[in-house]
Amino acid sequence: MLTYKKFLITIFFAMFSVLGTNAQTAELDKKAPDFELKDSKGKIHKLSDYAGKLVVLEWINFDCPFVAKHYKSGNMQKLQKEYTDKGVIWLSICSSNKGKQGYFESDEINKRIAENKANMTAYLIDTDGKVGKIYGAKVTPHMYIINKDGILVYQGAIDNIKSTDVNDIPKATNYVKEVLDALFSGKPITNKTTTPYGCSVKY
Amino acid sequence: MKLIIIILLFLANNFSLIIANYNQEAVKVSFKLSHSQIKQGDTLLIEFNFKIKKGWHIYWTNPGDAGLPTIIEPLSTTLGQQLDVLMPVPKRLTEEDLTFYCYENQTTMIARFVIDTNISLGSKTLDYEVSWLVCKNECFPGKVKFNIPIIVSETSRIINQFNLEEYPKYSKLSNYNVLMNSDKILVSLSNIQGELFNFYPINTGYFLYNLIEIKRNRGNYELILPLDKFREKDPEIIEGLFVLKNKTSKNTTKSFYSTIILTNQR
Repeated sequence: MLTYKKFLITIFFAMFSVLGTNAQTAELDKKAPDFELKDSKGKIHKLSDYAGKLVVLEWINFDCPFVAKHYKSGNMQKLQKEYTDKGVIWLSICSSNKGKQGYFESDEINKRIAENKANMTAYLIDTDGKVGKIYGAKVTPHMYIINKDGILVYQGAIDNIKSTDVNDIPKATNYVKEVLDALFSGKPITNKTTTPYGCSVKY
Repeated sequence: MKLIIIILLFLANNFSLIIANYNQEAVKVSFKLSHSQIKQGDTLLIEFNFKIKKGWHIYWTNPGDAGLPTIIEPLSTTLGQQLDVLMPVPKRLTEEDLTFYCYENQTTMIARFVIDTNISLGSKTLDYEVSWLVCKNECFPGKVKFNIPIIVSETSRIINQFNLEEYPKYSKLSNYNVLMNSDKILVSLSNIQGELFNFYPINTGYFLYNLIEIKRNRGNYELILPLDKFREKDPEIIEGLFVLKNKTSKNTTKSFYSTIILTNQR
């Protein structure tokens, strides 16, 4: 009888166990799924730690030519600085699996961040790709913006010119800038979803 | 003078000048012309041949979930206008839940360029640019410019016959019904001459490519196109490439582009 009771209690708790990441998938205009990842300096970050703040999620792979376009030109760093200075939390997430392009050990990541003079709040490591798959991250860069209420309000491309050419950056409409400016000014967001472009995420 | 013309003709047949040098190692591009001399108003065919390093791939007009399409375009419109670029049926590659439409090993694409009716006779240079993204476990952009010498003449002379039958053409679908809900589009197709076994959408940003299915239903087909929840808007038309196996000879395939109108289908 005692064994049976223990069995029922175990099943009861198993049904409500949290497996480290919320199993829901990201959807526009809905609460962004919480997650927990370690950054390149060993610190743990949870999305829920940033409740009440604007959060940008940037899927990254330093060796992808599309990411390189935005970093070599200084475009991404400029965006990061402009908005982190205003209190935005900028989380760059790498879902490259071990051995695949974009995967680096922490020392190398920190070296790349320093070399690129990147201004993200943190570079999060998602080697098993769980968070990437919850968010449906397909390419690098793939951008997501979460408002102060924790609602996903944008997903998609960084801008509207699909190329690896740095000369296209000044001609392009930067969707991330557009959305963040709209959020700061209280205006409606014109483009809530766009088709992202880039290299495939190396799950 | 004759020697110069012979040299020019030789160069026109097999000439690739790399001006912009990205990473050219994984892809080599060369071209052949249909004509040694061409009349005003006639269509010049330029066959671009891509030799792709083993294990690498370049992309179709819709690359799929990632990548960039292969682009072939004239750099000016002084000599005429490009009609289109014929691309062969791509291969579908999958990686985790991602799908790509691409070409491996070797492929040819044909640019059809209509010579302007008002252009003067004589030797001209047609500038073309070919750009691509070549990928394996990593990706590199590539680009090459061609200065193609052509002779505009009173008569056209064909020197290379290209088999345009290898390239899909547009064909109107006669019998189809569409059902659309928030998750997917179901297209019922009848009177398909052959076994439909692949569909490659040209539209980007609407579908979950890895979940596209074709089901056989009593001699008819059902094309299931799951919609991407992150799509910018609902599609109003679907454009794509249908690939069929020949009913009598399963080893041969037939393919065609077609359009499915969706408005008022909910």
